[in-house]
Amino acid sequence: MIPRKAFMQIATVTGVDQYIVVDHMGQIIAHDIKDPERSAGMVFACGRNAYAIGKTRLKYVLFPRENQKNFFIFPVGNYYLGVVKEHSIDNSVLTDNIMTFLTGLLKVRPQ
Amino acid sequence: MIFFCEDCGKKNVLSSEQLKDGKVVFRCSTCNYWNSYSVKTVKAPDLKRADAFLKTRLHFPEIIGFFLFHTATGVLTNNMPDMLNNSDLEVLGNLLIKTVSIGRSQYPDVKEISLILSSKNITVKMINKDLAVIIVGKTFPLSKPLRDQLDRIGSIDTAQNGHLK
Repeated sequence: MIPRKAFMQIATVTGVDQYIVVDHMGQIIAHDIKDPERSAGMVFACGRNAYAIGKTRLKYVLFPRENQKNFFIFPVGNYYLGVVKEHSIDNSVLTDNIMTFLTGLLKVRPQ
Repeated sequence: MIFFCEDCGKKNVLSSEQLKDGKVVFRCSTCNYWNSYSVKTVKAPDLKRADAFLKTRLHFPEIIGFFLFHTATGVLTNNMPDMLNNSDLEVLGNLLIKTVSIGRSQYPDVKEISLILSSKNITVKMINKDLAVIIVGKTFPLSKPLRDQLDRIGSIDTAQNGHLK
């Protein structure tokens, strides 16, 4: 189990505007996002669908938006992380930053 | 073709002969409920033109395959590798379209999504609210020429207007 505090550090990753973490039941673990209840439902349902397609090969799902504040969903163990990108940062920079963060998070989690 | 029971929601596989004049009538194989409802269809000549259009426009080495998917009638044209049969594509198409739909309920300006996997990616581009082209590619992000073609594909509208623009 990954501690809630560890997830909250996602807010410090460069390019993250808003974020939400839900567990495998759709419960909110941590967030800093507008309308968290609706966001949780979306992240959980879309994350579960995407995982059903990609299984462990799924890296992330991208929802491009007209205002460039693209939305991403990352699978993290038994959790799904939803992220709203800052409009001024490239998709690839954000995904690299988050993947690096998540790799570190999964390495240090208690067994 | 796959249709869902209006009563229990279970999947039913029907032949194209059971779809007449835009209406489908069948007894659900799970709950025996008699279903009778209208479905939107895409005319065959329009489909052929749409498929030809896509084959010409989506001729890029980075593309593994693509298919046209309609929310009511499922797979319309299949240009995917043989390892995936139509049943696989029906399941894949339904899951992807649902994912787009859920995404749009939160962010209405979303017109496409991409699933990034370790060795490939899947992009779903909505042509209209019921029709999508689903592309499986080798690399992500998509190249600029492919990106441009995808943006132009929004000008294809077979299901609502019955013709290609």
